[in-house]
Amino acid sequence: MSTGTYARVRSALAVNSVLVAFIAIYVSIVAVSFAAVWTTESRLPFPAGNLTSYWLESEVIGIAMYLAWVALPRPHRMRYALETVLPIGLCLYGVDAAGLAATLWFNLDAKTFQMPFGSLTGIGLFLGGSFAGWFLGRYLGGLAASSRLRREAASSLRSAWFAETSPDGSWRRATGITTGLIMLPLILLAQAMSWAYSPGSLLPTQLLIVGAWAFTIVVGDHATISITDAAVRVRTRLLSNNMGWSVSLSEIESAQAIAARPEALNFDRSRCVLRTGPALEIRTVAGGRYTVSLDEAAKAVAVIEALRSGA
Amino acid sequence: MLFEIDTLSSAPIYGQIAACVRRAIADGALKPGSKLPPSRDLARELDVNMHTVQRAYGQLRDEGLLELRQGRGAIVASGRVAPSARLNSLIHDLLNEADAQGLTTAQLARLMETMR
Repeated sequence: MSTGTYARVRSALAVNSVLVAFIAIYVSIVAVSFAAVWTTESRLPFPAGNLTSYWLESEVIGIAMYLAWVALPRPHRMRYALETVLPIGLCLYGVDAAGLAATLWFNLDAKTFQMPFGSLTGIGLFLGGSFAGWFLGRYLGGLAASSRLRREAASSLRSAWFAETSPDGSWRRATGITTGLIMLPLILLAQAMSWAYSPGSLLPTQLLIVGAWAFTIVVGDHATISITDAAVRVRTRLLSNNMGWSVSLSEIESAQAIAARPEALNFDRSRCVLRTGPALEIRTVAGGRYTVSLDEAAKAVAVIEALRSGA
Repeated sequence: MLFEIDTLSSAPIYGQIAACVRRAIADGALKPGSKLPPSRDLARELDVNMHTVQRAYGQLRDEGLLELRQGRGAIVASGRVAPSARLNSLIHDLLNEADAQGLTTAQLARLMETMR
């Protein structure tokens, strides 16, 4: 098997194409948004500058987060950029674009400021924008990462083994504690900032945050595990595949079936443990350790070994 | 379940994918009600066109082996599929092998007649 460039990418230069595409999307969204705000200023009940500065702040935070995520030294930076940061980044931009559109729509020819979160339509627009961005980013990122891994394998013989894992009660408890501790400051922050950006009742916003927390716990995550002659890949549903990972076959040092359980406040994204029980653990030649809950862990190990020996 | 294809084989890729599913059903690796991977995921991992996978799934649906449900993906059909699935699997394997050896269907049929 080839040990192509993707498996060993560490240079920031390697992510330039992704970065350029991301910034191009960002600039186009911001440009259209600002044009829309300034051309409709005479029909808005507030100065256009207030709105653009508010959205500009969130955009700047978004792009800074993206740059930090991609720029931080880590192995497989390109893969992380494609599979995780791109979907999350586009999700944020989707929220921003939809939020701005909703604010304009609700406030055109209004006498006083109308808060877009104050109605189901506004909340629907925000959620629609976030999901549209999320799906687009996830699809594009997954496609790009897969094709890169596949190019490394470069064989006429192709194999793919699939399995799925759903969460149990132990995952819901651990995730409830972790996400609850993250969302509580968000609710308090929204309350503290209410006077600046969104006058009126903040109850819908806070209900939305609590709803997102409850949704996360009740619906839960779901992992799809695929083992191919190119890579072992885990894709998760929540947070734009943030807990997902992929390891190319050429990087694997050993694979074994272990017992694992979900842990609260564990932010290790190479540890996708959704239930208490058997899990597949992969150790890489670079010293990395990747885990995913899998009832058929022993079978997965056998598949990996078979593919590696045939590679 | 394990999907294996050879892009250099003379057998069409959709046929190879369908054969993998038939074999898994015949061997009992896929039970009635088992869910198959979404066509998009399988296409991505095998690096083939999504329509190729959909064609394979469609063929299996026409054979009564799969149920394709909107929003739920491809599910192994319940009921009396096992005996015909095994036979289908063997016939397809035989046809693929004949293809690989350059035998036409007529030549294969003659060969089978002589063996009866």
